Amino acid sequence: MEITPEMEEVLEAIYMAIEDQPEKERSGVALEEFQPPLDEANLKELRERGDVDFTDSGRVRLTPSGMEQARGVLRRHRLAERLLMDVLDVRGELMDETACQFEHLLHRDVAEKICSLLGHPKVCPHGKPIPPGRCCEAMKAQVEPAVAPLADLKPGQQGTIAYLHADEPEKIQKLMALGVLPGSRVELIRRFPSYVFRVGYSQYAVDGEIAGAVYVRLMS
Amino acid sequence: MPGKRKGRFGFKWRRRGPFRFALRHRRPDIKASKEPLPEVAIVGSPNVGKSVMFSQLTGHYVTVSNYPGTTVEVTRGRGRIDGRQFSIVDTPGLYSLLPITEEERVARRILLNEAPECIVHMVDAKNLERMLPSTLQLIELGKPVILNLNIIDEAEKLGIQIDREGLAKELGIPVVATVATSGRGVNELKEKIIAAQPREDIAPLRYDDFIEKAIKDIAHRLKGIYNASARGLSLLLLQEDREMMEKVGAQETEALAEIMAVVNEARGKTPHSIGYLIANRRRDWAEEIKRRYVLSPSLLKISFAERLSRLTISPATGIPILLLVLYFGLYKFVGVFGAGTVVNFLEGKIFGEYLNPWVNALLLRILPVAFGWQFWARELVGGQYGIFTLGVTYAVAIILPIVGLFFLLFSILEDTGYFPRLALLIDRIFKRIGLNGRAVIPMVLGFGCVTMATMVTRILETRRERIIATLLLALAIPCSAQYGVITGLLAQRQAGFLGVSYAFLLWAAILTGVFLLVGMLAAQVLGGSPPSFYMELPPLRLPQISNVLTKTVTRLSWYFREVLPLFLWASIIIWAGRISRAFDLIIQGFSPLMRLLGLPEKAGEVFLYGFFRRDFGAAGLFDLNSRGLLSGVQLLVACVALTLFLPCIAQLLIMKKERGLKVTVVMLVFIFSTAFGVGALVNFILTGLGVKL
Repeated sequence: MEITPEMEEVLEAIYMAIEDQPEKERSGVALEEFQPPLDEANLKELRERGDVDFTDSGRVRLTPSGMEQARGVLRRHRLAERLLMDVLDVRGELMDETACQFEHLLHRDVAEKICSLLGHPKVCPHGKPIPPGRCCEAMKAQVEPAVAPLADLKPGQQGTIAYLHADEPEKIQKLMALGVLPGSRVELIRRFPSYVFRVGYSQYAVDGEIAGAVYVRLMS
Repeated sequence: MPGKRKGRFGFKWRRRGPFRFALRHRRPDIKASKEPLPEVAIVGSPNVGKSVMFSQLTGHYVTVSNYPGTTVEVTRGRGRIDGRQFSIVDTPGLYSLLPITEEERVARRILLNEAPECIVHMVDAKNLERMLPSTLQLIELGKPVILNLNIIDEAEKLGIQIDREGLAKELGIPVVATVATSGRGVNELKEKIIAAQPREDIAPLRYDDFIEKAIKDIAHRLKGIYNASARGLSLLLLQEDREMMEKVGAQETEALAEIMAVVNEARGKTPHSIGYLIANRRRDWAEEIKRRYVLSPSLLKISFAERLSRLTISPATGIPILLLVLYFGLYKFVGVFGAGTVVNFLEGKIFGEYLNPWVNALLLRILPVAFGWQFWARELVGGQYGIFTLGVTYAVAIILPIVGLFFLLFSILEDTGYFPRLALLIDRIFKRIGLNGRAVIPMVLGFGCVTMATMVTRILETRRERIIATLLLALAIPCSAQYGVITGLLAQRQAGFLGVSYAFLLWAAILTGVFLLVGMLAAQVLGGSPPSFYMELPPLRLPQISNVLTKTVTRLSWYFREVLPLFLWASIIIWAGRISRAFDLIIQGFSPLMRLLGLPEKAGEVFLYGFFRRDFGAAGLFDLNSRGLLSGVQLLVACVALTLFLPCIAQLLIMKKERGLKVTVVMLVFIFSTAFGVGALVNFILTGLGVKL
């Protein structure tokens, strides 16, 4: 059967209980520990799906598939919290309530995009860890070449300009007017008090905003 | 004279160097020529010297107008080469035939709609490799192209050698090396323009097979009339250029459908975009060409100039360097030498001992009666405030040497390429006051003549910047005429840090403080944010005497023509004010303000005259001081208030013209209050602390 938001909440609750006390992963969590208590019907459906099982003493555990589901829900919940707080500046109760609903609405791919957007955050605003997703693993596996904005380079680093990207077209125009274009080799000379870099035989000085629009593929 | 041509300073003023801008004659009465003169189009990315070359090639009838339907300005002119007349168009900066900006779109439209007989592709010789892909695109269009390697002198200085013949043979087009600013190579360029012929082979580069096939299929279907070769057009269509698609669609709708089918088929044959493949191939080709025909030394060795440059841009060393430049340049050269030695010589000796007494004696001979109208007539020309004894004397003996020396210093610094480095050092600070590093030019120029600097604020990008810059210039930047005299006054006081008097240091510090504070306030009040800072850093080099002299003379002659006459008028106004006793009344009106500043009532003269001519005001101070009527603190207070005080009459006119009447009036009110407010504050604090200067 399809998993419902209520069932997801249950999984989430169990996961969080295990999070606090990792030994419970194997020994199971006593049903009395849940405040408010878990809904019986949902638990039954989850068991039928094979996401939870019970120990002899009636404690509830997450099966591997249940674990995976729970992790996903929690990840989406905590990513939503980060999104609300960091990007949308929504805090407190409103954040909690909204995040709680987001977790059921976000498709996994959308969550990955949010994760990338936020720069693969490791913890939620409450300090709890955010389970990593495929995008985070991919990031770790990726070594070179990495593309970074010129503003992030250290003096002496070189690379090839991969692309120019800025919210305002004037910034791109300015760079083009200087002759700073994709394909050119660039070396950063200084960061402070302004960004000074070299392309070919010419040197240019720009501020942080423009330096942030030049994306460089680094040389190893 | 500002009266003659309404609202325009009708002169042509071209500056070379990294801050390139020109004020050209606008002649709306002469329309673009309707005769079918053969057209030469100058094409290239910005900052390669297109405008300079344009002036080299054209003689008369230069017009600047908007390309129809856009805000992009296009400059056209007529030139005569070897007896034949040409129409020359200076296209807006174009990097690639796939335009991104509106300027590029217009440039391309000019090429495709106007069928020029010859395209001069101007490139910066030392960056040839980067520009070659565009040369290729122009060649592919099918028109005669001349590759013009400009700024060849800088390339030579870097040790770059280009095999022009080999390159010309490889590309199949003439290759000319020039230095547009000096005229070197321009004659050869003209010869090549005359001899321009459409070429046979317009495919120096072949792309991937499937692309070449697609090109052939598309070219085959193009039956209409376009101002480009089939190959060039096909390449643009393959890259799905909107404008081209519309153009073709307008002429042959079915063909367009078939063509787009070919394009889609080609698209399906590669995971990359076709444009990406084409751009890559062109880049590889350009690298190969560079390898074969351009010899460039390794960039690893850092020359002395580069080392020095690095020193100027690191704050730890750059700021001391700046202070040294200020000390030796502004203080010693313009201040002590100019305002002191030279002025003393000119004013004291030449005018003081010879010319003025001679004029006065002459006047007495013509109009011998001591009082009455003859007295006033003599006073008009001679005496204490006469046109000659004060107006001309001050203009020639005081202002001209000081301003002249400042312009000389400025031109030297400009020619070395120091200013972009200064700009990048102060960009962050300037951002706090709503400006950015690029404003360094008008600000520094303000130390020479604030009027000229206010005009130069035109190079600033946003209106907000222009207003803030104008305000700060009018308020806190002392022009050299003022600055010279004030330095003379304050430098004589008790010596302090490094041999510079405390009074002077305090004056400088107070001004800097007001500058920053008012700047920050203005930035807050006006809202918005400063535009991003970007600037090329040309290599540091020794100033060339010819350049320096040309620039200095240009600026000086502008000053002579536009500002000095106003000062002569000011003398007349002062004379009239004295006759009618109007001035005495105004000075009396000033006395409460003077008391607030702790100054004697007579100091009111200083401000009144200072409005018309700053140097008059400062000279009045000089007078009071030498008569022992002012204490050190009073002198400082007066200097501070005078510097902050209303702009001189020349500048007032420029402000009204550039920023508009409303803005100017608001600024004036603010400036007036600030000048006296700060003066009163300084007086209060210093006398309260019992400081003696």
